Amino acid sequence: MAEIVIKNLRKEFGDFTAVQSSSFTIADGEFFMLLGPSGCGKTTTLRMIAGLELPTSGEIWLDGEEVSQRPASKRDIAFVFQMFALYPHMNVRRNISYPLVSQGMSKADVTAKVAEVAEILGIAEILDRPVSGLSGGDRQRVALGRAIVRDPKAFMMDEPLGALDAEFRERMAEELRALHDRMNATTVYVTHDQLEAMQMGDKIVVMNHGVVEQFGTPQDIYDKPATMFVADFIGSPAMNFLNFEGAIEVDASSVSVGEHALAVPAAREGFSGKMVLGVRPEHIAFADDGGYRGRVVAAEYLGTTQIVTLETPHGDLKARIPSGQQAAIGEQVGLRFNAATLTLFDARSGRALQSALHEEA
Amino acid sequence: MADVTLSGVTKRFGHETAVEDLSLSISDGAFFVLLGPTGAGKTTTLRLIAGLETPDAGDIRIGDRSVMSETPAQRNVAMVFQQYSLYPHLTVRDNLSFPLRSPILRTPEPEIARKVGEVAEVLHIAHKLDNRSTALSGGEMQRVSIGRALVRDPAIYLMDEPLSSLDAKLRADLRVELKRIQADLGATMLYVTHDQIEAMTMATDVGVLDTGRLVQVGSPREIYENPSSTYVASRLGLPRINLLPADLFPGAPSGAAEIGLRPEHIDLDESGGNGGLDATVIRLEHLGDQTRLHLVCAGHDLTTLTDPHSTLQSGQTVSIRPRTPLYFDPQGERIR
Repeated sequence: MAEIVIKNLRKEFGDFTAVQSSSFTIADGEFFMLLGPSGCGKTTTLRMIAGLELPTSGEIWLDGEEVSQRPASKRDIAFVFQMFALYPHMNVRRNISYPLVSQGMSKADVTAKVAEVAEILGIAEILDRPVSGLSGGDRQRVALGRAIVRDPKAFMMDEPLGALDAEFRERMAEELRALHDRMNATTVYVTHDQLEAMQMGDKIVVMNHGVVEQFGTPQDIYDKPATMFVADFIGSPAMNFLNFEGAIEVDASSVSVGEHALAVPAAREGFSGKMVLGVRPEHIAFADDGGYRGRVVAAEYLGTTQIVTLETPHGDLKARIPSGQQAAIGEQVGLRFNAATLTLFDARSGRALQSALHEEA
Repeated sequence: MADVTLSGVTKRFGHETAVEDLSLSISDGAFFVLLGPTGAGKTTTLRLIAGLETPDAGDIRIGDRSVMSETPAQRNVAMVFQQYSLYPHLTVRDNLSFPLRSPILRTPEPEIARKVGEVAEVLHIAHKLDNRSTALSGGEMQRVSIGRALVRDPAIYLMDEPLSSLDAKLRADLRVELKRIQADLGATMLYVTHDQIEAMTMATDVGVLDTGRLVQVGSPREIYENPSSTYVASRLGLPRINLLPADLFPGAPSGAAEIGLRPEHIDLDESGGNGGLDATVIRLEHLGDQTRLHLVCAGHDLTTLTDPHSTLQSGQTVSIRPRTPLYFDPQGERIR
């Protein structure tokens, strides 16, 4: 297993720049997520790491060696695709053995290795079954087995759960993560599903239009989004944005939104002009004495919590509050924001303004 | 709009029973959601009401008449399918007008224009009326296909997972929108889905289907807080309810085989002082607004929730105690 270092990686397809000088490091044994909407360059990045695309410029270091111009076969990486293609005429055992047999491994070694992998994946009992009769989950496990069996330096996975239905995806996500924890294999995983990324990843890179917007641990990215794009892409419901014209000075810990002064983390840079206040749904509470007010337009029950949509002078808000709390449609309510968690953005560039929030460990 | 009633409806395909002795009543103005996994009989139920399938037994009534001998057109239902199919050569306006121009309805043109304008407004596609239907985004196309049902004034709207092909963000927006439209129109809706979030957030009534049988009907809150079986309890709630042997914790009633603990109904003490059972932390999952904590307690996996900034580490021991547990008998039925 290996560390992967990406330096200024760039890929152009004719006039179109798919990836613009990305840099990040994937530590040995990490479960690493490449997250973003379709067309953001995440799959292209993955394919460059695997060697299925050659970069226009930049470096890829795999286990201490620069491999960016090497063909895929010389990189010792296993790739798991979205549509798991198995050899339909072979049984499970032969599907899993195939990569080893084609490497010329001895029969006894192949048998031992396949047995070991089947044990890890919990498919030892179905080794002699044809793949055509298998359930979706077992097919996915066989596809994984074929990747694992080679003991590659790293695994590349391109939305391997994308084709599955919600309930099953949840289960496979847990299984994949548990498998990773047993094997500690460096894994690079592409997804457009922010929940999947948060749930499974040790680290996440968020990409948009070929640019790395942010790189960090799931909780950090959630708590301290570097841009409005990240704030909006991560979380369900997403971070709320209140648009206003205002100013904040260095060290100030309050900002005027319309006529309301709202407490915010102490500013570390000054700004004036069109701004956006970002607040996560769970950091909004109903409070009779809350100066900032909104009108309830919808309530969605979610078990222990509910999502309430509010209309306010500076934009709609979604608040996550306990489901026992009254939220009558049409009612005007006072709101209180959890000051320590708020982020201010420059509305034009979408960049987060630095504040005390960014200094916490 | 009208009440829709199914009594003792059964539908078989060869040896497979898709729907078994199903009775349910959808009252005027209800947003009724049928929830179940793939193969539970959701779509078949919808198609039976629409008249696209004929039941082997039972009766289906819309308003005060039995519709068993009526054609789909005579039943006056509007159906929205999972895959939006628009007429690609027509504009959005013509797509929306199409059902009203059917020879059965014979709607005058000014009335069509009024209706289409109204629906386009509700669905926020008024500015796209003169676009080709192929020049729309996926979300817009699905809104047009929902709009094509809304322009009519049917006895009931039947919707077959209309949001499932959309991405997560759009799905969340359309959930709120669809609920608002239904409430504004006072429409009667039967909506089938395997997505528990859709069921919880939109429904006035939820019916839970298990392999062709209706196992519980109630408001989302009733179903969530008061499930009748382990099957129903597992359908709603994320992370899923923990089902463990009843004797793991003290206090189980006699005859209980399993204890059901919602993740938020587990009291956790990091210093082990709450007199509960020891459990080992396997892994934390940071989802931003919540953190899922995977534990092993006496050899059983369970999931609970903890503070987003929890400092718990894998391998650490904590103490857990159930709060408001649900008990189930060996058949999975609830013991009350």
